[in-house]
Amino acid sequence: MTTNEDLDLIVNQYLSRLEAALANLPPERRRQLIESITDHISEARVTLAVTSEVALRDILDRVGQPGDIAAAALADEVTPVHPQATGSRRGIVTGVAIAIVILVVLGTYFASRSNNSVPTTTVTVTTITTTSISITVPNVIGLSLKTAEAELQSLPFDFEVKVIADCTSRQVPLGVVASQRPAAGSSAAQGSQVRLVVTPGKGCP
Amino acid sequence: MIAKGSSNLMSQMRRGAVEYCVLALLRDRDMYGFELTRALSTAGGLVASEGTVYPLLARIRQDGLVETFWEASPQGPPRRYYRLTNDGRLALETFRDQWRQFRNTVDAIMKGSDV
Repeated sequence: MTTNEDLDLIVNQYLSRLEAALANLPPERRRQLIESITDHISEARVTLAVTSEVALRDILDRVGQPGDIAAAALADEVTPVHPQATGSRRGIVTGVAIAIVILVVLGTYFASRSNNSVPTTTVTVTTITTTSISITVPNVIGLSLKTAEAELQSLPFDFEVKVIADCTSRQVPLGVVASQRPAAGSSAAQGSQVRLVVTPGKGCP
Repeated sequence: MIAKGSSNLMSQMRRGAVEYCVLALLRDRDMYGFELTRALSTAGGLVASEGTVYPLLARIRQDGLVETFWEASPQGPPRRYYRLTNDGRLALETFRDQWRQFRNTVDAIMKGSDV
């Protein structure tokens, strides 16, 4: 027979591990998160009338590994709380930037699609630098997408490249970069993107 | 590079979508943390675990998409309920439209490609 005290002890051990895993979170966020998860466990125990260790372990398994919760919490700290940019924070910022670019590009696509029925393709190559140095954007107009990507990646920066198909103009040969933004020769700041429009290949109606 | 980041991309996409799934669950009624996170984890494939939803709830609350209030529980401790705000409702409607278009476009392109 497992007593309520035994179960409390298991919960407390879990919460201690969670607290340790959340050490890098700002104190107020950590306190709120632990409070929410403490409430969650209490609620689950009452709702499911937990009296056995097995049932309690199942609840804790569903709550998840403290390390996973800590990772999710840190990933949600998008607004930098600590001024020093860490490797993982940079990754998060990059991820968010990519997501924004995808949305922007898709938004452009839908807008263009609804305004004209001519099928075309836009491919966007996103470049995100991890330093504050500006880069001079090379000219990639007229190159194949593959060559253009290689060219952009050859620059001494950490690039994230995303290719998004979209459908715009068929006035230049297939698979070739028709235009770019920013223009060749201009400088691109940290986190900016180089946008390439290429003519449609497969995948366009 | 795309290959390198594909699992990361999935987790980014999931993370983006879960937020709106939370808003959608709250569209018709207010829910407390346990039932909300359990509904998400039961749906399968959406969240790594119930505990990982709480940071997200804190964030969308901070963003003003949901608000919370305490209510007594018929059994056990008081419950913190989550309620959709007007901003949250608007964000949900916008996402639903964008998601529909996004899904259709990706599906169409995937179907047409040789991949």
